[in-house]
Amino acid sequence: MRIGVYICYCGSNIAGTVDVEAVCDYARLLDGVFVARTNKYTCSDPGQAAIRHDICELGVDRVVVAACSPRMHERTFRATLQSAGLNPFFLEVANLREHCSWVHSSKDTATVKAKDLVRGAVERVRRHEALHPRQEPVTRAALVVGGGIAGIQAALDIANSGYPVYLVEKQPSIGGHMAQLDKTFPTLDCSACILTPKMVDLASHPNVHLLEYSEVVDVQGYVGNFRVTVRRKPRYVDVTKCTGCGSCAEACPKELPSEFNLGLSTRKVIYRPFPQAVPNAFVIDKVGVAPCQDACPAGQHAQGYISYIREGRFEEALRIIREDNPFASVCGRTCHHPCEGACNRRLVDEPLSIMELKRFVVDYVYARGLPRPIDPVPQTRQERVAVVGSGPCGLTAAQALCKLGYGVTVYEALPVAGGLMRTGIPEHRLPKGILQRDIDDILALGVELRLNSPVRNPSTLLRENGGDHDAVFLATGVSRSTQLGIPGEELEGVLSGVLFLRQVNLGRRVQIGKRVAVVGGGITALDAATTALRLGAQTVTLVYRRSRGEIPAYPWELEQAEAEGIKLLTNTVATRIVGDASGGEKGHVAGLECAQSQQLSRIDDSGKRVVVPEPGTGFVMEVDTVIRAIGQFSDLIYLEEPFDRMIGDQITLLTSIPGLFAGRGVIPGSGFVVNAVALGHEAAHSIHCYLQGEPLHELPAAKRPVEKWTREEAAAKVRLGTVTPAPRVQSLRLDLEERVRTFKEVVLPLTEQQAIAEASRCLDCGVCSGCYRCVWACEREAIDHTMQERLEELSVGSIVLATGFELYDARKLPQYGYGRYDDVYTALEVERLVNAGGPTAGEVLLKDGRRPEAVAILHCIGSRDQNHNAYCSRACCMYSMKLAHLIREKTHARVYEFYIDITAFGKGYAEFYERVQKEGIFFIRGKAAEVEAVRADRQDGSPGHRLVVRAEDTLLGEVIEVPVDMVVLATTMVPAAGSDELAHLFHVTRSSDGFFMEAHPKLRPAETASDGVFLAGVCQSPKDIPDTVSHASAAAVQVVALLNRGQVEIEPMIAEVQPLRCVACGTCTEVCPASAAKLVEVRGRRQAEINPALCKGCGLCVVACRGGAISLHGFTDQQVLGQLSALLVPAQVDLARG
Amino acid sequence: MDEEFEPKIIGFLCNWCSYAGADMTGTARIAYPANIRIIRVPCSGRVDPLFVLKALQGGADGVLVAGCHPGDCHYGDGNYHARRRLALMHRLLTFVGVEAGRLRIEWVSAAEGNRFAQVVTELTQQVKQLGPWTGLQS
Repeated sequence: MRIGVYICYCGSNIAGTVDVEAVCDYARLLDGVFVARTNKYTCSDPGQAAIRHDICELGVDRVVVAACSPRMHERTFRATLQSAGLNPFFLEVANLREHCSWVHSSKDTATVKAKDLVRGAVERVRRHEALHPRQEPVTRAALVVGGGIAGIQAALDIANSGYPVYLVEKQPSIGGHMAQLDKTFPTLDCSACILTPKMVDLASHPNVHLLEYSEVVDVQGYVGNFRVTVRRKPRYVDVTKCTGCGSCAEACPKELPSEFNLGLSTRKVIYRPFPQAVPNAFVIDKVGVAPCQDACPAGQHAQGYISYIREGRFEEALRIIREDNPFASVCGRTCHHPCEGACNRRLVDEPLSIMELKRFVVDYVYARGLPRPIDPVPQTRQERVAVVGSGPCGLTAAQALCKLGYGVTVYEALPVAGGLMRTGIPEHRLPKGILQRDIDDILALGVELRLNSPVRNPSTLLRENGGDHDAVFLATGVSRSTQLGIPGEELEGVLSGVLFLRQVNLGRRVQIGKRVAVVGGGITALDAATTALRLGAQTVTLVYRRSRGEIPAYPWELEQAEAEGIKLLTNTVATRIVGDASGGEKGHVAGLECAQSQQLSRIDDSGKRVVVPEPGTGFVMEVDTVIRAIGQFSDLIYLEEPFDRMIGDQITLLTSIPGLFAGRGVIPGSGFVVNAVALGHEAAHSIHCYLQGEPLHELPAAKRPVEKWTREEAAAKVRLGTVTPAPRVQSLRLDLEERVRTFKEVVLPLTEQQAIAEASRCLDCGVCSGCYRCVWACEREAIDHTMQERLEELSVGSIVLATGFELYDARKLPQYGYGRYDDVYTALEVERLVNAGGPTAGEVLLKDGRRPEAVAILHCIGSRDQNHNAYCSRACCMYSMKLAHLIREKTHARVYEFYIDITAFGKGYAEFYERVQKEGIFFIRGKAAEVEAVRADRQDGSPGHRLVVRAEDTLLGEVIEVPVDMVVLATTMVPAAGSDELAHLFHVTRSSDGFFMEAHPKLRPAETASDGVFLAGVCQSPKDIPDTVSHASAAAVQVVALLNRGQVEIEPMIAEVQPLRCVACGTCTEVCPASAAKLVEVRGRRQAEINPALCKGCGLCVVACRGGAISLHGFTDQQVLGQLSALLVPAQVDLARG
Repeated sequence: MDEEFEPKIIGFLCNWCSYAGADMTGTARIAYPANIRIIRVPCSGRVDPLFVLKALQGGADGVLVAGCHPGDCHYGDGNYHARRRLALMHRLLTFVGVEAGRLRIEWVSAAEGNRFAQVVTELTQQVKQLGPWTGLQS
């Protein structure tokens, strides 16, 4: 072995502190060293030539370079070895500069240390082995993250070089902050005029794929082979259809602060960020959904229709209700209204009476005749669908499928349609005529209804079995009452609650006695009780086995029932039905034996404690009719096996028979009409996908955040007067007398005034109310509120980060009054003011509308400040001067600039500074210390205030106070929000100022330490536009170079398993962060194997392996320990040698 | 000994953060005591606790292991493994009589040139006070 040692002077960088010649002499004495040389600059041509010469001519086969950090030139010297024909990994670099000469001052100690380091490197290189880097192909595509001027420039450069490039931008439009500027320094070019052509070029470039309104959520892989997952946020507007006409925004009733104008003006919920946006389309910001809409199983847009009611637009209110719910009449009268339970108003006074408002709208519109007749929908598709059951679920599915163009036939066993809505809900809660209206509207669309048509075997309806339908939906509902399971149930006078109600609702004669007991506590029990009362019963008693608080019936219905005279027995279990001895084998009900309930600690299927009768508390109630209403289940009788137990898949609703769909079975707490409507929509969607051959398994819609208020928020709004408490509207009820004798509807409708007043109590909680004004205004039908977010996977070879900046929060420097005093602005806000497209159409005005007479511009707010940001934000001096110039031009005000130093370094900058000075702008050398608001009456005597800027004028050596009307703060550029996550995702580090760290501040400003990831623009450090553009092009050329090469060399410092030592314990597989270690079987023997394509070379497995079976090439134990022992050679031994 | 005791400190620094941080110290010309000798490893997770033992056996008076800050490890979670292993090793060492102050585990990022100097200075001072380590000789 012949080791060559090359010690570098590095000019005077090393030689200034280390006695390089002494180290060289020492090196010659080390075991194995064949030749040792010094060189002024080993990395230079002659330096490298010397190494090459020694390899070729002297047979040197191991090289130690003692010079600067290996992070600097290891690559360079490896290339030197390679060019001389020696494996490049027979190299070790000793760091004599960054770790020695630059950090130690004593020549003696530094030289001793240098000798140690060289000795260590020699010992180490002795143990090096030949390694061969892997060649990997590079995916010839690039990703640019960020669509400001930096991202746009980089993307254009890459695209123009012929490579496809993806540009991901999180805002709905590209343009970044440059789009917000008015004129740019020093040329005073209009920012939009120079930016927008680039934006348009980018969007229309054939090689550019613009992913706007999207964010990167995951990055896997390595240089040349990145797999990036991007979340495409839903715009709710089809960009290919939107023409940017703006009718939607005109129609939208709600305003929000405009982000583009920094809150100085408003925009609508559907908006376009700025007129020159690219893409030039609108977008809906739907982040927070109203709690009422969120709570509704069918997702009804309660806030939306209430907003119409508030304005007296009842037809449109009905229209939006019907978008999701064809049974508005039913729900408006009988729903359990979870929306009201979630209404934020309940934290102020009482929730909105949403159900009553819905009912009001329905009744109002129908009373005046339907706005337009319902046209039948032509069957545009070949396929036909059969729906078994004409309840709310079946009919909703039928309507939805019919609207999609399918032929639909509904089979109903009974002579009337409507399912339990028709047969279960009594007339006094839902008049039959009203329900029939809703059903007729559905049938008018072209749905075929076959009454008196029970279906025994649904699969015979399918085409493959001889029927005419391509899909069948079982929507037969829950029409059988659960048995009580107590003795005496077979007696005459014991009725099923469901059957009882059905008979009454079908107009048939029903025999009941005078003393009725209803066992149960749900809405069916209550309906049976109130119906029995109206049929002439003298006493009606509800027997419920749990407490009043647990009763499932609606509390308001229960109150009404009790007001009518129905008795409620809680905590009472029915134990036996007592018969009389009269007439024939089957006796008649004479009484109901009951007992007090006792709750055990066991939990039953419904999740509640099991109830048993308490012994010794029995009593008999004298009754002649017992109606059971303790639960319902799906009909067994009407369907053959196995259809009676058929339930659909949880997500797709498909059963085991292809083409046959069914619901999810009985789910406690979801037996309401609105749940059935929601299920009907789901079924229609599933069936549609099935018939179109599209995949049925869809990810559930991403849950949107809900605008839920807290009590404190509500109280605060009341305190501030934003919300005034007002009582909830009370609808009237029929007289008790009239109520119990007839089946007239009990609840009377609201008046128009009541409805409008109630609707005005709505707090407009959701960002988008779902009123669909935009949808109806759009002539191109470009708006789709059902859009979902999607995840897209991109394969790229290289990435450019161009995520830009945001401004430091001026509120962190309260001494300048931002956020407290009117007329203290940040510079970006003033950019918007002076911009002709801004909130004041280009006029510089104070909050009260006057023109300022004196303006102060404060430099370095948050910059060059030990308490905030130590760095200089680079562009502020120039833009402050630009703003000074523009303000003076527009207002002729006196303008004062308070500065520390003037940073006017660029081309034309110093000249601009001269010009601005000549325009009469005052430059005061002294950073402003604070801004105060002082009472100062105006010239006309009216009260006013002025802002006073206090600073030390350092040239005068005096503290001065300057009164002005407006203060402009030049705040620091800081890394954009989310930079933390991005740094993690892309494996880039951050410099101490928080910006992304470049590979080398002088020589490699556009690269990072992570191969394949480059930086463009301010995300690396603050800069102005010309420097940003140059930086972006620098990054782009690096990307293009990489993609051109087409191949990338992956370092071979990866781990490898010695199979004979491996016991296949699997520990390595558990620790490997890259999932590269796996257990495999080779020739019948289990062992661990490391996938070289995945291994990153961290070495965790090496340490984890208890048997020492894994080694990491380039950092083996022998190499490290060899270096270690060499570094620790005792001094005496060392001195003896050297 | 007439000379003042100068401890020998061995430092295991990870290539991506702490070694780069030490380079930064050099670039910024921040001085620190010359007692430390640095060995570069790809990740602090590569540092076998036995390395620490070998260092102390071989003549080191103090050992520094430096890696990336939690969450910033170039390989993902290598530094978490390092932390756990070295914590155990630390306890074992104190159990056999090695003073706790001789082993120091630190997180130093590539930008923390100042901090690296501070850490080395502190450790050197501390080990100086503890005196030379002569136990565990093989």
